[in-house]
Amino acid sequence: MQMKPPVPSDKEVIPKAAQKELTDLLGEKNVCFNRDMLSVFRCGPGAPFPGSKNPHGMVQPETTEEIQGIMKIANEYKFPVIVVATSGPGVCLSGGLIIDTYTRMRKIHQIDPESGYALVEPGVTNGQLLRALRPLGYWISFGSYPPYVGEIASLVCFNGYTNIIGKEHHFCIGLEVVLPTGEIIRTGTAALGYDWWTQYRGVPDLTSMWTPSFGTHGIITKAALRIHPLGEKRQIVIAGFNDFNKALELLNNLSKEAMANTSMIWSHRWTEWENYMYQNGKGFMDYVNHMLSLGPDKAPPGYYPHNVLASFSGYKEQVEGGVKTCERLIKELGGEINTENFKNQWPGTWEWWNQHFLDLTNPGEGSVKSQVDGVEGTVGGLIAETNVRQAKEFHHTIMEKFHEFGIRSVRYYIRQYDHGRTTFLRYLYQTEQEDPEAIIAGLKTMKQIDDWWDSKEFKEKFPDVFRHAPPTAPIEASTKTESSGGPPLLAMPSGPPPGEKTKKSPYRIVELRKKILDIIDPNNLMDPATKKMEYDTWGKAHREAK
Amino acid sequence: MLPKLNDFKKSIHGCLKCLGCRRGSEVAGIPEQEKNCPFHEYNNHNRIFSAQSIWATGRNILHGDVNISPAITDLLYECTTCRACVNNCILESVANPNADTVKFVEFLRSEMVKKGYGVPIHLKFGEHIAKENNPYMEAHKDRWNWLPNKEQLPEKAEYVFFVGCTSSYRQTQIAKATVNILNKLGLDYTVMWRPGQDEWCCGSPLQRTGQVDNAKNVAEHNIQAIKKTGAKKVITSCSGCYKMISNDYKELYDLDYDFEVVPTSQFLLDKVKSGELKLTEPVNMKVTYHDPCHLGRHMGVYEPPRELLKSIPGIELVEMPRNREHAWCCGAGGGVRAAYKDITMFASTERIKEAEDTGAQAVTSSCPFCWTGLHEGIEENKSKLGLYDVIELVEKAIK
Repeated sequence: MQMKPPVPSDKEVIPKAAQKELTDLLGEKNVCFNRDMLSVFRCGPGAPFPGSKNPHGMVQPETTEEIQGIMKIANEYKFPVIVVATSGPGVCLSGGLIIDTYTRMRKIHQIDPESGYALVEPGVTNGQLLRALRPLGYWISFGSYPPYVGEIASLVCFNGYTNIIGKEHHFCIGLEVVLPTGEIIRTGTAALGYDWWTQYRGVPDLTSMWTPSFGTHGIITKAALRIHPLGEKRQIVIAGFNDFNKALELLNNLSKEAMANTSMIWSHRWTEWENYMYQNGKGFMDYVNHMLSLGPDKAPPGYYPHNVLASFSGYKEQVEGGVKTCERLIKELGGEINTENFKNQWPGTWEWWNQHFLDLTNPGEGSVKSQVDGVEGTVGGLIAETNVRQAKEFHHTIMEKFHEFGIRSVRYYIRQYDHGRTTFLRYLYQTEQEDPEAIIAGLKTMKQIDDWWDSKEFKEKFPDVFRHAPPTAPIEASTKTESSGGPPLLAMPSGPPPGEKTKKSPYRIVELRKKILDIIDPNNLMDPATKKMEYDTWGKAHREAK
Repeated sequence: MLPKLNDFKKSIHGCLKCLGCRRGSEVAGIPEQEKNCPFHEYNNHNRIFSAQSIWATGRNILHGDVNISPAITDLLYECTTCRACVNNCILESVANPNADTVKFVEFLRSEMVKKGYGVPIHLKFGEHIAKENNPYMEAHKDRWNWLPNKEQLPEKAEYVFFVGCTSSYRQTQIAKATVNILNKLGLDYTVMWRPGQDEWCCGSPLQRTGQVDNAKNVAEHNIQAIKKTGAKKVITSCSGCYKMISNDYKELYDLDYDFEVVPTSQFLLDKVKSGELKLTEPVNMKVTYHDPCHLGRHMGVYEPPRELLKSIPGIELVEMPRNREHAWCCGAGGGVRAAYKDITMFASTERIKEAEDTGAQAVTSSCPFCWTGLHEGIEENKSKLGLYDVIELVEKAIK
């Protein structure tokens, strides 16, 4: 049987009967079908997203059972759903029903310090969980957004943001998920009926498949997150570098030797130094002239363009040893211990870390300040990962390209994980425009970057750089195969012979994901637009921008 | 000058969707409380009812995806314009001083009214203001019933007491207390009761609900009336009137005047400090102070009422967890009490419970309209809390 994915239009996507059923299920206060009032659910945080549409409805469930009920109704009436998280992704590109899983799903079910996990609902914020953990002497990884807004759901998406307690050490160790069919599954040890203490057992680990974003495979209703004891001593060391390569080297060493809990390079260039002028009471033109005299890669006097932030936690001797070693490495690499200066120069960034990790009384306020920069105009970004061999050259190339494309303002942070073997690079740039025409121009710039990335030149130069980005060729909205007669779950395209270097990976997760979706989402409710990953749809929308 | 849609473009595109606008109290360092925005909390913590949503709607309007229509009435009119969201907005506080959600809400409401989609009850009191100069459906001739000997006050004076509609028609005890104190001080003051230089509604209810043309008319009248008294200083016990006359008349309607406008609490505090006003009678009471939104977040007046309270012998002032710029709104403002009474009850109930938790015997404030909202919360919850305007307590402390 072939089924076309539902393509919502302005017609009655969610029929009145379905609206009534949803209202009966959740109560009138927890549903909204007034399209004009649903603008806020067009997309997640960050830049306004051209191409997004107002959804056709929004529901706010409180329990797993209610989500099961919603999926039952969605299957019956065949309308698409978009699951959103406050600080995670989630763009409504084609309408449908928003399932808001954070507003009312905010319960902390269990904190088990002995087994080292907290079981929470997706709407629990970092700050909320931190407050519950602190009296017990525990904490969780830094979030992708400030503690007071960062919902756990988004942390699960990005798997934490740290190098020791982050990715490779399994920030998220188990999930309860409602599938598109309404069935419930659990991952990790909980899948086998045990408690939630670890991620791996004798079943495939599926933890990363479920994100509360557009076009995913299921809806997270509970997450078991790894919690960590607050060390008896905690300290943050910040090192200033003028040379990016040296900063990366320090970062790599800290990660490779598992010295710091967390570490990252926090860099600013070009117009980001506006901050400097504000702090020094100078006018904008003073700032422009000053920066022109210095050149784009330089920082104003007393500032460093690259700061490595490292946090240490543990027993007193352990932390002191780590800090001492870190300080030795900083000096050897030509950097300077910049902790005290940094506090004044970048108070927001400092406070974010300070309040999450050092000052345990007040999560939140400083993190607001940390978002001061880059709040106007079209904001674009690149997220890439590569092995450590390519990180430096890639970084220098991308900065040159940004300059070439006329992107003047760039800030980025970079961290190592997998014990320094992998580099995570996140660039945020602004095109400094505010009206619709200028936004479109900004999007064209993004497209230029996309095209460059897709070019032969790039692929030959950086075969190992993985970008969370669109595929090279558009994938047509696929036709469906009946789940019973469909392809086997783990059948993948054949790869190169063992040992041969992969220039272009044939194991495209998009393909695998499509096969899985064919089986678990027979009505294609969760990815109605293009049946591709979210990154793909973002890229496509960029390309289609006028 | 009244803003236009394009004036908000930067803010519309700049919203980070960080949700600070609705969870500001945690930002304020009060981790137990995440409630910040009354209409957001009333609507079940629903993101649709938030400042973020208002900016998102603005973006849709700017791009032509959504039209000004009754479909967005609830979103725009359930907001109490308390400004708690603005206080906690990253853009507003740090990067973009023009990202003022309240201004934007008022602008969108004015667009609604222009297209004929205003809230009927607001339009009704708007019409009444045009006829009888007050929104309480009362006659203009009854405005001074609380002050029978008004004729004794001079036509021209150094100070003019701008009473406001709520104190004139409803919470007259605040107006009476103010006049008694001014009399005790022996000041050269007057009130504007004489035809031709008579006090009208300050226009705040009109401005807040989008009826900007009418608001400007009453503003022009009041400016002329005040000028006729020759006063150098206008004293007002109403926070809404204070914000309107001292800020909006100039900023929004470009009206020019050279008199000074001061809230009564500030005026009396100055008199206490200069020794002209002696507060000698003990008022033995543990009180907490509720910051009116228009006086506090809108105008930045937090300390004078507190200092005035502290200068009263016997008064013990205890703070609620959410105070000053982080104060929870009483829920009455922005036209909400008239159109969405449930929200007012929800917000005032929350505030009264917060006040009760401090162990105070009474809650005080500096705004007759907050007095009204809080009073309803006390009645609804059968609370034993006393309720006073700061001026009433000052009056008690004078021999």
